[in-house]
Amino acid sequence: MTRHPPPYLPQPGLPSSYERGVTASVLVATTAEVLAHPELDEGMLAPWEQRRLAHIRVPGRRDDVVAARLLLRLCAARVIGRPPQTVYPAQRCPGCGRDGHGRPYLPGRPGLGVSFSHADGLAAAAVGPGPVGIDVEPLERRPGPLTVLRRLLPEAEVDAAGAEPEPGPALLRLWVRREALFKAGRDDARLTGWTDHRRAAVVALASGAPR
Amino acid sequence: MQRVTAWLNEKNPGLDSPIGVEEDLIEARLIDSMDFLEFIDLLEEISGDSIDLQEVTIDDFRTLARVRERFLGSAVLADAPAG
Amino acid sequence: MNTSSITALPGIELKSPGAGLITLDPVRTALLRGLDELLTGLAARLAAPEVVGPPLLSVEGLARLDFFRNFPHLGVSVGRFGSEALDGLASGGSPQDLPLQPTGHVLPSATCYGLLLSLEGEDVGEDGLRLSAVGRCFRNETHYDGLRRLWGFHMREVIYLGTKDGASEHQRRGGEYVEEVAGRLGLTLTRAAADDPFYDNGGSRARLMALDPVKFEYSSPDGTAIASVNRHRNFFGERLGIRAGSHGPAYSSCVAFGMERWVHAMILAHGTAEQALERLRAAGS
Repeated sequence: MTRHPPPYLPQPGLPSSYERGVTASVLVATTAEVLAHPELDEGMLAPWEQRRLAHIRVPGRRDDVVAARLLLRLCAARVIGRPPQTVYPAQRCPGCGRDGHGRPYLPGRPGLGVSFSHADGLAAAAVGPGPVGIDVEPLERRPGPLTVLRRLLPEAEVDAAGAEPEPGPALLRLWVRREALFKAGRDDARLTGWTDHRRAAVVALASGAPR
Repeated sequence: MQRVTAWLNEKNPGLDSPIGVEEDLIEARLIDSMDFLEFIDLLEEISGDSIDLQEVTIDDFRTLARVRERFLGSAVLADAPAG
Repeated sequence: MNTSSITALPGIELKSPGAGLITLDPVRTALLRGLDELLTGLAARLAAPEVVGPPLLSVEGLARLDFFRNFPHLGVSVGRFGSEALDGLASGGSPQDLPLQPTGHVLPSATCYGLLLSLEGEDVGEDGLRLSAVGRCFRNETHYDGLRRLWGFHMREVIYLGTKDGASEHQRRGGEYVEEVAGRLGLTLTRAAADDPFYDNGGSRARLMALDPVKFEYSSPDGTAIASVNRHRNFFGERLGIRAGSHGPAYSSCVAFGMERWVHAMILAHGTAEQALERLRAAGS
């Protein structure tokens, strides 16, 4: 299920016409890129988000979380067609039912699913017409140990990844796919995975069936 | 417990102060979901018991105090308390 | 603009040689020419001199621009019959199944390639350079559809080479011009950043957006992209050794118009080709 996005090439002239019926719109960026983006500013974050940020101990990680939250705003803004500063994502926990943590959503837009992810120096966001989940990890990261992984994820999948010629990357891809599914909250979501070589990142997207 | 604190510090070099016993490790972003794999492995090694992954919740790992209480109850508590 | 009466040829249909290849009647031709003249106003506004690009491009040149790596299916190749086939042809033999020899050239798929390749090794100076040209372009497609999706079509481009800021400004001003002209012509266009689509096995699509989009498309209500504004960063400057004075490898950007698609958009908006032509004349005055 792994697809690689086309490599960057300046596309001159006219492309094919704008596609409709997309299941999700995705943005992936480095933390630095997001924090430098002219349309985004940390001041856009809500007080409850700022309070959560205050708990983060490692400054680099704090930046990653800020970037992911801002990237979600940019992603949603582009899909909705409004400016990012008018987008106010909220969060609700499917487990305890309380606000302020858990699955993100857009108040007033129940049809739209949103998800964000942050990793060391990376951020990702997804918006779609139904539940979505996105996960990003640095290319070199490895889930381990295998013995624990096999108890957490379906054994057959872990063993299959472990049997590949390059088990490390295969296990990482497996991890991000399962994380994306988990965040979407549905096992039957469609999975798209890819590697962003320029940003040294692996990404997985779980999104719903098209209308 | 000391091993846990050492592991956390290894994962998060350059912390400006020690990790508090009641500090929310997840909110502090000291560990993320992938780190849990190692964390579980470490705790099983220290305690000598295996952890039933069906029985645990995220709250069991939320603070050092909770971790100690939940998983390391039978371990020697001779280390100086963290925080 | 020549306002002498332009009517359809009475009782005559101009046939097309095949799918995606259209012969334009006089009214549509007037639309095409008139729209091209109007859109060339951008070149006048930006002081971009008019040039004529080459009719064919070298495979070697395009390969250096990663063209075949990224668009392997697009290029329409130029071939010729080998000398051993010529006698057979001259005596009435069928050319249909004869093998063609490659010539090392392809038909252009975008107007700017020929212009950029012609500037290889040049220094465009501190203030940069603009050029305007219209050319016939060709793209292999899986299906063709009226004037919306043709095998061969006309593309007008106004390109800029120079500084990073200059390239961004060129892109911005090009977009403004498109919106302005669309307004004058009574066309409703939507502007969207062009994304990379992903397709999963089920055929559903996700789209990967760019944090800093380099390409925006303007589309008519039926989703036909009729114009695009594109930034190339300094890709072409680096690959082709084009410098912008002390600024190093030139940044570039281009504004592109698919002329037949503008004809299509006008007919879509105004009902018939004749009504579209009326509207074009009114806008031009």
